[in-house]
Amino acid sequence: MSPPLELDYIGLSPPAAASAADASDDLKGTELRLGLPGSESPDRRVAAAAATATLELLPAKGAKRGFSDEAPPPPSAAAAGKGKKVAEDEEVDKKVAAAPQPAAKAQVVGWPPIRSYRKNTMATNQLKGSKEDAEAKQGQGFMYIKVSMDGAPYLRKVDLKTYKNYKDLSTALEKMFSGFSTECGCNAISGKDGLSENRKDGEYVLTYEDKDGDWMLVGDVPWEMFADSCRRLRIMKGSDAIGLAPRAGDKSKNRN
Amino acid sequence: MAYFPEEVVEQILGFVKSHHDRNAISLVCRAWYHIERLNRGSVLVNNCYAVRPERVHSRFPRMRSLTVKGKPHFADFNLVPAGWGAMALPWVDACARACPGLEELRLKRMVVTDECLKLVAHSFANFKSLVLVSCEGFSTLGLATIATNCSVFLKELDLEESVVKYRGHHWLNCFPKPSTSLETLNFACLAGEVNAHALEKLVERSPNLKSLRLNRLVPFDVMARMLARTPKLEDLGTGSFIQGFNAGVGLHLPVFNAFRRSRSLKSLSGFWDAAGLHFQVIYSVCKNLTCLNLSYAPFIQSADLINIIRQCTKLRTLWVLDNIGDEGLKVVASSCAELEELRVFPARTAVHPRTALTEEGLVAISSGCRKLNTVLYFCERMTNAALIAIAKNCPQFTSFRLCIMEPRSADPMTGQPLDEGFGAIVQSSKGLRRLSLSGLLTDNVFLYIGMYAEKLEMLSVAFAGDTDNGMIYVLNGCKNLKKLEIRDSPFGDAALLAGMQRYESMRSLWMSSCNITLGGCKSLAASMPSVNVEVIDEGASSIDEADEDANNARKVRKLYLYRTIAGPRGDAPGFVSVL
Repeated sequence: MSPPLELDYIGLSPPAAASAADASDDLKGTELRLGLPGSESPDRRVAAAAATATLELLPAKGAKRGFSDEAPPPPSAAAAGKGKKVAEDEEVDKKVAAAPQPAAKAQVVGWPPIRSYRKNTMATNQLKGSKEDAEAKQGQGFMYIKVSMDGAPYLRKVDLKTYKNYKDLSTALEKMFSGFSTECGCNAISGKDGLSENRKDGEYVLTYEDKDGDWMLVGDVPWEMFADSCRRLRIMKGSDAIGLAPRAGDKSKNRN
Repeated sequence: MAYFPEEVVEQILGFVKSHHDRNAISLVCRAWYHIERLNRGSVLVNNCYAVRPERVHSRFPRMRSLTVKGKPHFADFNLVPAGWGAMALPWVDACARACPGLEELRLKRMVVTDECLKLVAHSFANFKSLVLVSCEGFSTLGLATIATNCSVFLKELDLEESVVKYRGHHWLNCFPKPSTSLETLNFACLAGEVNAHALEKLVERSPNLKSLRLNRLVPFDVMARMLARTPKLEDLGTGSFIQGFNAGVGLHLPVFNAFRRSRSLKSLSGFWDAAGLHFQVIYSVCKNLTCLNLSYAPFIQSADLINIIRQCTKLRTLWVLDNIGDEGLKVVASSCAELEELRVFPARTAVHPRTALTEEGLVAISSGCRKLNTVLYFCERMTNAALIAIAKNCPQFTSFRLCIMEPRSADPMTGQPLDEGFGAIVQSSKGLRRLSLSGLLTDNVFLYIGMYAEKLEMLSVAFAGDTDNGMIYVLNGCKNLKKLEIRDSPFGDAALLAGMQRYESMRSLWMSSCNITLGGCKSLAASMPSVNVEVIDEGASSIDEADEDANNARKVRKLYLYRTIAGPRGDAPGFVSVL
């Protein structure tokens, strides 16, 4: 193989970052450029030219903008050119003391090289996640909510996290409020899930207030969903519960 | 050679599986060419446009397994517009006519329609395995025809990272009864709901299941029950950890027990919505894991990651997100001495991730995991010193892909380009076959690559280089180069034409947003009849003859050229000009 060509990369010759920047200014006309005509292509060499200079001095010259100049990139620049230009600016900004980033950065198409499958998957994940994050923050170990019963002189508090399903919850509530009524909770126990569909039989009906502030009938949605959205419980007198229309529609749409 | 009986050569050939070796054998002499071609059962076509399907069938009449790859690699990053091509139908059609005994079909980056799947389902009596990687164009209806009509022999249905249109979930019901031969079922990419009951029934009647990858909508209690019924399961892609009866409240007892009892599980993936305590369920299998993919689990915190990884002492393959941080990677380095492959993906896909992943993480890995040979690393910064250290620690890289998120990032400590760092990598890893560059790079790095990367087969370049010389160094130096893909780099016609002697021995070249002109491409096309030169210009006016000089001076946005014996392709869409 022929001996490697000795090429003088102006940007790489050690001394005088200043002169290097000058020289690169002169050569701009002959330099190979990327991007469509009319767009200002960033001067790549200036980064190299700062070889000996510390990075903080970088914004001094050349086509790169100092961080003091934060005008947004010219709107006429093509996406590709804009993306690169802003990318260069970001580099400078990062290296110098923290300066506020320019507003919306243009994304270069296909960069970073992440498969669209992965991007789409993560986007969906994160959409769901932002909802779940807020819920998870609701205290890791416990979830105490107030339980009121119509006619009882005082309220109680229960930790929803100690129950696995509706049956456990209604058994516990029954024990808790057994002193107040002989009929308490029995209407809430029968039925497959521990919940009765037939409200006419018992005297009391178990309802809860959800995140949106609506009063819902307990038992319509899967336990987990209920536990996540329940803010307080109310053991309501059966006679008051007539006309309570459970809004199952929206909530169970997302059920599997 | 004349006295060497054919039967003996055939016997020997039976042990030769590698495509590379078989291709070499077929070039020895005419006799061996014929023996080999009649003996080859597994055929790999790396570029669906390099050869016509009929030709493949006439050369290999005893084919049992066909693998075809379609679109260029950069199609993964949305650089190839929709409708470009790579239709699977012509291939399936040819197989249906010439090779009814086909048992395996693997397609990558191709467009597969439901019609195509129907043809597969009805044409091959012994069909065993369908693998569609990064494919698109089909729906769950197509899957239903496969499940229904492919006989009891169907062992493998793998839809890795494909895009599948949702047209109902009854396809799971369609698999044969009373039992199936399924060993691999991967529908992790499926976007729609899955009938949990049908899925459970399917798993119940598939006693040979070794690999099962669920999509994120499978409720976790369903997964727990299935796990309990699949004693041979070695590879599991989980479903949801949030949806399911008895979900939440931190109690995943059935799942926990199912994992605890599974003795054969070696590979885990999925975890889409898992967070915090959910991960405890897998602690019991960690010590047996050889393969762990947590790169689709954005909610896992660094502390949980560390707890898991500490126990995965036999791990060979690890895919994670960059929120593992440098600290997390240091734990990997100290816990996973057997690690061979590491991929670290960005948790946020914007150019400026807020992550604590720097070059330190990879340096730690390289010093702790001495068997490391495959790396894909997205990070915010990298230094020459780090790369040099990594190169010294791990001289056996076969694939090294580094993506510094910011294009043209210099070494943050010295301000220098990263030429020296990458140069150290190629110099030290003599077996390097795949390399992806990023960061600030001058022509020097290409000089090093040309000089040292003798075994390099695939090179990906982005935002790098200064002059044509960069590309020329590579074309001249890397004798084994098969695929070269370049974007946003200042290489022009001189570089393009300098490779004229090379393109026939390479598989393909991709150049986008470079400095090549239409005229350059045309003259290349004119002098190379065995190479298809395609120019992709979406939105641009068609190439007309009117003002030829001005036309020829136009910059070409996307160029894809590849060697072929099939001539110019007939299915090129309007925005592709085959020169």
